[in-house]
Amino acid sequence: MSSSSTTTTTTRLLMLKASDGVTFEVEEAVATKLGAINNMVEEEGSEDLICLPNVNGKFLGMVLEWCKKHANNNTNSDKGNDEVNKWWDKEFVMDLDQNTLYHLLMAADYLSGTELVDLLTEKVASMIRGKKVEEIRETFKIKSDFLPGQEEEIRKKNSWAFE
Amino acid sequence: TLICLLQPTEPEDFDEGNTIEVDRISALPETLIHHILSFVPTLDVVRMSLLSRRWRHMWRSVPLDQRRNDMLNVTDTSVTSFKLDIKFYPFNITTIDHWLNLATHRSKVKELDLCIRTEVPRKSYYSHHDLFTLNSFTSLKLCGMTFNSLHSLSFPSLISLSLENVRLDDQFRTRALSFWKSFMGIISQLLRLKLLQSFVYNGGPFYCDLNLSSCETLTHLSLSNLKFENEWLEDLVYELPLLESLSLWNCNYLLSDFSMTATNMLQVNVKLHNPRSHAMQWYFNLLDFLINLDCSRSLSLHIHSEEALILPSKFRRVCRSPLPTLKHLKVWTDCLLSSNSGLRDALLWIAPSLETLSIERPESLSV
Repeated sequence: MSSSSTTTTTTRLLMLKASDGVTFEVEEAVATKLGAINNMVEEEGSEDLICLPNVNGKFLGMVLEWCKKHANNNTNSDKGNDEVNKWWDKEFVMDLDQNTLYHLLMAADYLSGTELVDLLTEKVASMIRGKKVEEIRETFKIKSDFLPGQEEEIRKKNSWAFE
Repeated sequence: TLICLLQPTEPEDFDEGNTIEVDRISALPETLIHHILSFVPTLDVVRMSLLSRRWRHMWRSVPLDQRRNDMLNVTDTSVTSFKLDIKFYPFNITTIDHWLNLATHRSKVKELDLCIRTEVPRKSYYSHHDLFTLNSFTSLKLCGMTFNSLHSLSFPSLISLSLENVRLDDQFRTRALSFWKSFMGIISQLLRLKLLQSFVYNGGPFYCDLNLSSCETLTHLSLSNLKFENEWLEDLVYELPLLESLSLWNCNYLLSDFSMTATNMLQVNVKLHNPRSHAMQWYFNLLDFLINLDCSRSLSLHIHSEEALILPSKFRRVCRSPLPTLKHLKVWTDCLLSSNSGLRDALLWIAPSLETLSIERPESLSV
């Protein structure tokens, strides 16, 4: 009996419950990739069910998928894994639509997943860099709500940026 | 057991069919937008001000420590006016250094406005690099900076100069009195500028022997927190024939025994010193002082209490009005005004030819 008890203490499971009631059972090491969860685990200690009313199950699932990948890869930290991680991250954000990107970013921010926020904001930035204003408007469906003349005024005021 | 992270928000509609044309990025909280913009070249960020009203000022609000330091190309080209208004903390010294470098090296900046705010008076930003390798400035406004030296100054094109809480290194200060001598000497040297039209100086409450006599073109002069001899100011005003505007804030006690002639004076602003009591001597001095200001078209007086200007009626019977030709008078006060104090009557006696009279107090005291 005494020999088996040593192996069962290593992984603790946490239950995460999303706003729509969907629950996820994840290893503590995975969930604590998220700063907010990590804080709660450290503070509360014994709590096993964590309710996340600001995150929908679909996006919580994606966030946890990301955590899982990165938690696993952290355990064996050789250089090759870094490359695998980067490749995986690239795939992860490649085909995200606006809606998913938005909710994922909000979820990652809410859960203090710093690295994931970095990844997602960088993804958004990559859709902005070097683009013309018209192109950015088109990509993000931004509607111009300037009053007549206002746009011209901005151009004039910061003419150095628009030359 | 069950625990919840924060309060739930409104339930959201995640139906992708409905959201395909929705502008999501503009709905992000500002902190996340700033985070995104920290990965975007500054020039692109500025251009994004044309997206919509939400984005118009976004580029300005990105915190300095999150901005990309890639403005060099911009300053190389056509920026002629540079303004930095920043709070000083020990941890943002390198950021400030960086921005000053951009503004002053290989740039065409002509107007430089640096305000580095500090809440601890003894700890102000110490300029490590030589700001003054450029001599193309026409306008220089410095606030809250410490320099190790202001030597080798040369600003032949300077038209406007403003120095507020600008100090030399504390090491010099420990050499006691000679510090102020050298500081004033350096400023005086700085002021040997033939084109200077505007000079604003806010020092500590220190004795002043600034030599401004070579600034014959000066039209605007503002001095705060300075102590000086009356003769110094008399001479100064005499030597500045083009002076149109003079401001004295928290300088000397009332300038009694003082005379001033300034033919071109349009505007005088004075913050009167707060006397311990409004005894007879105060009113004598006040009259003496005001007589000199009749040369100006317009006068602003800042007072601590209305009592300071309400001359007793026996004065009014005996004396002549000190400002017989003044046209415009504005009185500012920190205190609450009583409606029937007689301030208005007193002011109309002081300046009987007024066309406009306004009595104002700060917003916060308005009822």
